Amino acid sequence: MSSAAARTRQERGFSDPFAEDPEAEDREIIADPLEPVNRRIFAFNDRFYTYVADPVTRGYETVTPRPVRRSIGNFFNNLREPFHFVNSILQGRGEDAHHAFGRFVVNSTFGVGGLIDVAGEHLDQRPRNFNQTLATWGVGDGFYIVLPVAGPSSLRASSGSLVDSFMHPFYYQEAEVAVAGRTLEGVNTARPYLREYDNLKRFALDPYIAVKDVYERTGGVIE
Amino acid sequence: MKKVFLISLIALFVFTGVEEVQAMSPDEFIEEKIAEVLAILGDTDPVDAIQADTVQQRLIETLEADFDFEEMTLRTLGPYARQITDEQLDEMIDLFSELLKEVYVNRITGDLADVDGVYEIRAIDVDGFEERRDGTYARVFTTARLYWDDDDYNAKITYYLIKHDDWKIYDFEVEGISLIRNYRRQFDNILARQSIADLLKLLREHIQKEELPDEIVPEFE
Repeated sequence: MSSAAARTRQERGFSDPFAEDPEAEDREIIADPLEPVNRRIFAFNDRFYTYVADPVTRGYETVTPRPVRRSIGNFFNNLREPFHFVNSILQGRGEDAHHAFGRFVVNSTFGVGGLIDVAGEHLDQRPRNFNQTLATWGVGDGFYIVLPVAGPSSLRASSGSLVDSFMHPFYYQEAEVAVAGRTLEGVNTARPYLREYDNLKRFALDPYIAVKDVYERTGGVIE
Repeated sequence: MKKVFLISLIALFVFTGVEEVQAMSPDEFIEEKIAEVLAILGDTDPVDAIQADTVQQRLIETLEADFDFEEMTLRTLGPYARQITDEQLDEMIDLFSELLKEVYVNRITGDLADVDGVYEIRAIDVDGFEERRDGTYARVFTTARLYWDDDDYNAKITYYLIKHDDWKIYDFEVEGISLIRNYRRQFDNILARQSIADLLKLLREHIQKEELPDEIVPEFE
């Protein structure tokens, strides 16, 4: 048995010895006025990940050789460079804009339409989205939103994605092409995220809160 | 005079003894623990089901020796630690440490059930450390070099330590996600609506579920 009971009640009150600002942790929590609706969508997503996304991505990984998956990943990453470029400028990050522009030009031409990341050796990808731009401008998260299929987001992040989508080549394609493209992109990249989600869910007493905490610490602003 | 000399000598010995125990700096402590864990993982093939059990058992032994479960439980409870009765607290420490063992072993061995997706830990480098409150607390910054799906990945892991006679780990952060904070948020949410007895019941049920063999033993497709 533990000796914890020996501690007095007062001694059980803790402060974080490493917190520069003890209230900072509370400020990071994103408000969740839609919690009942969000929890329903979360439950739907959970079934979707388990019964649709997991078997589909597993099957995809089995039939698609690694080099092909990587090329497809490169192709979709390349399509994001236009909005990385615009957002880098809006955030005043000149070097990142240079990376996005250089990568897009080099990979689209010498990299066979983006299938090969030939620029990667000299110019690493610096993903900059409109959610980050809004954050740089001082816009708060707003509130927490769980999107169907896509999962955790916030009012600012969802608005940001919408603005980014206008700068994505898919926006200028037929709806069917865009949906097929987005689906393939999702299937191609989802595997590690599904595995992390599964781990988190397995050990959480309340998976909804566990996922929200992870989103608050990493979501949106740092990609 | 002789007596004084003798007492001084004994005091010196005791003091040297204490010095030896406390001589290890936080980064040396973490370096040693990392070496122990990597040796366990290096000894065996984690995909082999029987060996996987041995690996898990040995990892749990290191965990029991090096983690401060009491500190972890109290920090997870946060302000509720003052409301809990002594009996409830002792049960909470037992249950929560059971759960943490499962989490820890799972994080280190990768997703054992997913044969094609096991991360390989190439190395963990200690990047530095800082101390607080006269060296009672410390955190050690590390970078784990992982290999998965033909690619190298780096993950930042920070270990939080408290000094008793020796250092003990009371939290770790992977890419900014703190284990204790994540559970504290969950506990807070549950305790805002339900009692401590309800939380204990939830923990008990959760751990019983975790003990089902098909959740621990690797599955092969």
